[in-house]
Parts: sequence; C-alpha cells; structure tokens
Amino acid sequence: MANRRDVLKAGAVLPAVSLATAPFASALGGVAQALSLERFVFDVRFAESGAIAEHVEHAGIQLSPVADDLMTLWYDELDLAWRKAPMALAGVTLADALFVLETFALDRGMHVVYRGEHGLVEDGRIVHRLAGPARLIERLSPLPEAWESAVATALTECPLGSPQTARAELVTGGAALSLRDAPLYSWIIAPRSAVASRVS
Amino acid sequence: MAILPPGVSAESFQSGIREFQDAVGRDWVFTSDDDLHSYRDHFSYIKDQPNELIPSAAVGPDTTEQVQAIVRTANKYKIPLYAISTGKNFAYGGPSPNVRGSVTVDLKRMNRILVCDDKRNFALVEPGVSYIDLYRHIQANKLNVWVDTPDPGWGSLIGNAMDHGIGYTMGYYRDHFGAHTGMEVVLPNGELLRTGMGAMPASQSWQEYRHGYGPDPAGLFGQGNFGIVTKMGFRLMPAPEHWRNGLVTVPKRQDLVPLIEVANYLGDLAMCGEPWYGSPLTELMGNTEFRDAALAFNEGEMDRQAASANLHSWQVELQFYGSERTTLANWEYAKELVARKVPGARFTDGESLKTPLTREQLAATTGPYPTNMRRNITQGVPGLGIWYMTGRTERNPNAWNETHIGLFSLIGRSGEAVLKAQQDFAAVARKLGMPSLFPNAIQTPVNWYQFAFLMGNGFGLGGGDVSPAGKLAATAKLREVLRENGALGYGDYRAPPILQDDVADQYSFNNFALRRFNETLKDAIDPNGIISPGRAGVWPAVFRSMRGGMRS
Repeated sequence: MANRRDVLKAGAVLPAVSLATAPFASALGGVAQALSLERFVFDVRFAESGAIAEHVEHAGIQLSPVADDLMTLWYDELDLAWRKAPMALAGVTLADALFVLETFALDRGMHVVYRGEHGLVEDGRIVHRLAGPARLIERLSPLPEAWESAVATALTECPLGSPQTARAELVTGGAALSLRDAPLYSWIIAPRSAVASRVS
Repeated sequence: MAILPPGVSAESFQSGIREFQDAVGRDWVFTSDDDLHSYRDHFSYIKDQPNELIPSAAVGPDTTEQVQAIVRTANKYKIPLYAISTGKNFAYGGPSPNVRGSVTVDLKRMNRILVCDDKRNFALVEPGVSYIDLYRHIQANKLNVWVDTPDPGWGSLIGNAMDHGIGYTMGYYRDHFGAHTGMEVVLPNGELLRTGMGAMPASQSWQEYRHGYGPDPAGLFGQGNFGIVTKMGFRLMPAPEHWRNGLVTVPKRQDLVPLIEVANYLGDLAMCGEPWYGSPLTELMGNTEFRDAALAFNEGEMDRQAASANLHSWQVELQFYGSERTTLANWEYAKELVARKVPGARFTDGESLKTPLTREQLAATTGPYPTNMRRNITQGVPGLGIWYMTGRTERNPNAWNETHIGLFSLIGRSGEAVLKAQQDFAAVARKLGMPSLFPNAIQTPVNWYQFAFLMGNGFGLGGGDVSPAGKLAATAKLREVLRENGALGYGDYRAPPILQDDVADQYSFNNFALRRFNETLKDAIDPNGIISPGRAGVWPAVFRSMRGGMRS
C-alpha cells in the first residue's frame, strides 16, 4: 500500500499531476498552468451539484456521482487510484462527503486547496463563502446569478504551485438551493506537490 | 506553530528529532504545520485554542524495530509519545494526544496483513490495517470469513480494539478487544513483549489461545499507556450462508422487560446477532399531549395514547445468521418465546437472503417494515455513510457538524435498567438546565457489546452554538453530565482526551483503587512516563500534575 510520504514524493513526478491541456482549459476559458482534474464528485440529490457537474462534464472530466455513502467510490476507484499516485479532483457535495474525502486525502499526500460553502440566508438569497487561490476567488467575484456555471469554470482553473489564498463572501439571488439548511460545498483536492496552499 | 513537549528543551527536542530521523528516515519525521495538520482532531471542542491537543511532531515507523528505536529515543530525551494506528478515532478525539506537544507515533505504514486464515478463522495484522483493507483482502482472496466492522470502517482493527470499539454482527465478534487473540507490544523501555501463546518462541497457536499461561497483561494495553501494540490477532466470524431478520413489537411500556429478557436469552445462546431496539412511539413525539406524557414519564398516559394511536411501545429487530433453515428456526423460536411472555406482541417477517448480499441488497433501505438497521455493517461490509451524522441533511436537519463527541454510559442489560436510566438521565438534564427532548422516556439502548447496554448521553447537548465560547460551555456541561451520571452509577466506556479524566473520575471505588493500581504499574513500567501520558486518566508521576488540566 502506498503511504503518505511515498505519495508525497511520487507526486512531484507522476503524470497524475499534469498541467491542464488545451482542450479542457480553453473550452471553459481556462488559464494555462492550471491543475488538471481527474474526477468530479457530485451529489446526485441536488440540482445545483448536478448543474455544475453538467458544465464540468463538457470539459471532459470524469464524473463520479455519489449520494449518502462514499464507500463505493472509495472502494472501487479512489483507494485503488490513490495507492498508485495522488490525484486532483473537485466536487460539489455536502459537508460530510467533503470531510470523508479530505480525511482520506490527508493520508495520501493531498489536501483541500479550495472550498466554497453555498448556503442560504433567510430571504432566499444564497450566501457563498469561498476560500482558495486568490486568482480563483477573483475569478468568482462577483458571482453571476447563474453561479453554477461560474463555479464550474473556476474549479477547472486552480493555479499550480504555491498560490496566494483569499477569502470572499458573496451573495447571489435567484434560485434557492434544493435542500434548505444544508449548505453545499464546492471544493478542490490537490496533491500537495501540485498546489501547496491548503485552505480550511 | 512550533511547540515543544512539556518539560523538554528545544535543544533536547531537536536531538530527539534527529534520532527519530536516524531511526525511520528523514522523510518520515514531520514537524511542519502543514504536515501536522492531519494529526489534529477535526471535531475538537477546543480547536485553535491555546490548549488544543496537538502534537509537536509526528514520526511514521515502518517496522517494529523502528518503533523500538523511537521509544528508546523518547526515553533518552523524556519526550512523551502518543501512538495512533490510522488516527480515525473521531468522536473520541481523532488522532489528538492527551498531552499537547507529544510526538505522535503514526503507525499507518505498518499495514501488513500477516495472516488471514479462513479455516481456523483468525487474522494477525499490524496497526495500519483498516477494516476496509482487511475486507478487501478477504474479498480478493475469496476467503470464507467476515470482518466485524465498526461504522465507519476506515479505522484500524488494532486502534479500534485498543479503544474498546464495537461492531454489529454476532455477540462474540462485536467486542473487538474481547475478540483479540494475542498481541505484540513494544514496552516503554523498548523491549518487545508477546501475550498469550505468542510468549512461546515456537508457538503453533498464537492466535488460538490468547491466555497463554499465568497472568495475562493484555487488558492493560486496551485504553492503556503501557506500550505500543505492533501486532494483534483477531478472531474472524465464519461467513454464514444465510441472513434473516424480523421485527418484534410489544404494546406496553413495561413490556420492554420481557422483550429484553428474550433477546438476551437468544443472544447469549448465539442464536441471534445484535438486536436493534427502538420505539414506534417516536412518531408521537411531535404530538404535544404525548410529548408531555413522555417527558413526565407518565406510563399510564403513554400506554393509553399509544393504544389510541394503534402503536406499540417498543420494538426490536432481530437478525439471524446461519443456513436458511436454521435462521428460520431461530426466528420462529424467537416469536414463540416473546409470545409466551408478552400478550399482544406482533411479529413481522423481515428479509431472508442468501449471503453474500449483493451491493443492491446491501444498499436497500426498503423492506417489509421500516428499519433503522444499516445493512452493510450487519453483513461485515465496511461503509462510510455514517458521516451523515455530522452534516445537515434532510434526515438530520439540525446536526451540529462542527463538533462530534461520543459519550455512552453503560447500563444494566434489562428492561428495568433501561426504564430507570431514562428517568435518571432526564433528571440530570433537567437539573443541569438542559431543556431538551433528549434524554426521554422512549430512548432505547444499544447492544453493541453483547453483555451490557450502552445509552447515549452526550450528543446534541451543545444547543448548536459553535462559537469558541459555545464549545467551551458545552464541554463544561458534558463534564457535569459525566459527574452526575457517575454519581448515579453510570460509567462511560470511552471518551475523547479532553474528557478522559472526567470519565476516569467516575471509577472511584475505594478511593480510586483502580487508578492507583494502574498508576503504580505505570510508574514501574514507564518511569519517564513517555507512553501516552494521561490516556484514560492514567497519569505517570512525572506528568501527574496535569491531571484534570483540560478542565481549566
């Protein structure tokens, strides 16, 4: 079984941590030198995560649908893949799924480099609390009403290296989240060797 | 944030770090904040506080010999160590040590499955082997055994057993420490010890007779700080050919007494797996009239309203492992026993399935009756879905997802004990000014450990205030709950480090004779107090002044 330091060391040279190639990045207006995502994990129970997944899928990123138990994803895919090499992945899930993946990721030389909480305020407007690479956060500010497509694009544009981090709290109106009182989280997990700046 | 172990100079610490690096290689000694992030308790009530229980460094050995070298170095520089297996002990502190500034000994790299025998039905593993790992090994090799997994299944077999963790299949296997078959331990002086038949150099039966000869110290290592376990054997349940379940409900509140008697009888005869208790009256708690009766423990009124709603008071889901015929016979026998004792009892056949269950069957949540049973864990299949508890979801809309502490009191395994505990816990909650629907008169116990019940008394007491002050207030309240419950004779079985002294205080018979005995041993075996000082309230002399320090 691969272990944390093995993964850390291997990550610097393995192709799993490659630069984004033109078709993915340019299709979404992305920038060069961005993290290349290998999976997009989304919770099938929520319209918002489904909408973001649809955008991401157009960029050719493999989708991993989940619901309330990540065991199948972990057992069939991620555990096996992460034993070989670290992997960059993004997603839109509930907090518990992110917690599970983040915890596993920490054991395998990866960490969360962007997280966005998409919740509700009382009047139905959506509050988005974002933390991650400053360039990515800037890209999201201000968020358009159709925030799902903006988030989808930003998720594919995570800069490599040790980017400066930033935080933002943004508000959008329009459609309400499909599950009240349950914030959705958009996130990026990356090998530490690819993106060094972790956010909590 | 660079911190030092208590009482250790920066110079000594650096010398210790260099020797740790010599032992395991530079790549496996971690000192940066980023590296140490994963050794923090995600759910800590004192996160980011000056007293948060975080390590000064972590070291990841790959072999028993490396563990021995680490321990010798720690002794030389008097550096406290805290060993973790996979560090997933969430709800009980995760990977966080008892003493801030300890060096975490992370045993994840020691992840070898040394033996897994499906004829003699045992496994011998290292600490880094998780339930998921062993399950994968069993599946890959088509072995005819199950692993009794906790929920979630990402933790270590050894780590879970060391913390007296539990599972969900047949009684013997549910007690993970009780199902161990001997262990190998690095003692505080760096010497290697094997328990049971492992003490024989040429033993042919290490995993088959854990007692060996003479006094068996194995129990000292469970929730203990007398050494670092580097190998441990476990009995594995032979894979049954068939699984069946069924639901029993009984009408009146006092019917819980005979219902539990029957389930105990069947369980202790190894005729059924874990019984899952519940109350159909849960659905009436939204009814003001019923809720008032339940909070007042007005039995007559509760029975009247239950009958009026055509609901029974209690239920137990029974599950049976064996062949199709034996499981049916056991279920029929269970029905017969309950019917003899409880007029008006109802029985609903559950499902009758050939094992191994398919993924679809494991994931199924529908059946002949609404069930609380999480099917994967009753089938020895690890899962990760239990984390719904920490996130707000439709079924769990008010979860307090920033803190997560498990506190469960041991109570007697009888209906009378359950009914009394409900009243006692509710009285404590009232006394401490915790207006809550929980605990209440329909709270049911869990029978994870076969020979006693556990009842939750910690979750949800915080009221949802996740500010630092709110968390501290909730922690203080939990300490009061532990003290009050302890005075009533309810001891907890497990706790996170910030509450371990409080739980240890519950076990005060004869002026803390047990603690004094343990600490006498501790001082003799570990004179420098380097192995997990403070774990389970056992403080070595050199750190004893820290007892209760988390209360301030």
